Amino acid sequence: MAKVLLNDCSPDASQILTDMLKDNAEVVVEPFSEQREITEFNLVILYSESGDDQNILRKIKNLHFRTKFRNIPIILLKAKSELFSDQPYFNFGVSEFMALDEPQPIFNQILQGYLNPGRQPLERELIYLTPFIESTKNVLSKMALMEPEFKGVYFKNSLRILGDVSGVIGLSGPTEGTVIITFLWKLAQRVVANIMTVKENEINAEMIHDGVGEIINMISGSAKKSLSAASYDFQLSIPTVIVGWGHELGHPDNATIAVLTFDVGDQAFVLHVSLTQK
Amino acid sequence: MNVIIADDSKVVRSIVEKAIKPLGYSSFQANHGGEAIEILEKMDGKVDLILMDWNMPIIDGFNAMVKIKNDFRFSSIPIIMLTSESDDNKVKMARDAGAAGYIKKPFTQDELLENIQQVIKGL
Repeated sequence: MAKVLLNDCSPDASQILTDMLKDNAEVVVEPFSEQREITEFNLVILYSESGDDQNILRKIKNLHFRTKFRNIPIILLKAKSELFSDQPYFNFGVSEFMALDEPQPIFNQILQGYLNPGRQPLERELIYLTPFIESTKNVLSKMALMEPEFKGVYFKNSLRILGDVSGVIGLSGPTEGTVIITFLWKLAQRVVANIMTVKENEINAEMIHDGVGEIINMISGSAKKSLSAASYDFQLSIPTVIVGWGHELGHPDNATIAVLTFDVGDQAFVLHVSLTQK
Repeated sequence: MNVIIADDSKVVRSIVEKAIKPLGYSSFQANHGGEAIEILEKMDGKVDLILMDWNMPIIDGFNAMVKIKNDFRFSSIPIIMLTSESDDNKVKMARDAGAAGYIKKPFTQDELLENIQQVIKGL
């Protein structure tokens, strides 16, 4: 059964949501807490009766950090539609914003949609995803002496990336696409410090930029041999690095975007893989 | 020993430099193949080893190696490709073009040093 976390919900909101979700989800009602582990949930709903969006955006960003890049949608719920401002809620990690005064059938339908588990990777997708999983673990293990744990894969249609720094590599030739690794700043700093065998506080932005580019280069390069054996042939581009929260990237038309999540200790990073064969 | 480290990643140049320093090697850093050739010219060919990445801007490592191997002043200098290109075709291409060694990224410090020493021994 799915698990839904309701944060900061008023008694009325909790009642309405619990009634809607009770048949197919276990509902946990709690005040917002910055320390709460949330990766066990399938959906998080943050409620606010106020128009204090700065505080709400801070909470949403914190929730997003705690999803550890997993497929855990965050819904921002307010009592009335008029309480929403023109804030870029999506840029902070919100999947949907809704108001309790919206027609209940629509409201319910949207909620149920978010509870649908995503599809599992197809066998043909695993053929090209597995080499990337293995090479990611191998690169971080050999270069940074870290042992990342692969946590799972899900699929999405857009490439809005809610992390601090992404290394991007383009693939061209009979197979084309993009492979992107995304970190939060703190983990990127730790990884690059380990690679360079220096202390974290000696790592500056330029080193992170350079190091993250090299990591995605190594991941794609070392996956290439296995992929070539499976008839996924491509050339690698020179890697580029994008810094800044909420960046968006292009990807090949009609290509599925696979999101591979990894944990390193109590932190997480994510690899986006999007390939098509001509 | 004078060693040129040609890689567009400063992080990689730094870790390679750190790894070979205890062996008493002096390193010279190039950001791309063209810079590696410039260093060779400046040093009048007095270089004992070149560690060359493959994918670099301006002049990539493979093309730089071909230029070096075709220049009688530098052609005897051993070049080790140090690259994330892992497929066998690339390894063969590099060997055929005169690479003395091929180190695949990611690498451990031991793997790096072992490969360098094998190439040096074979000279």
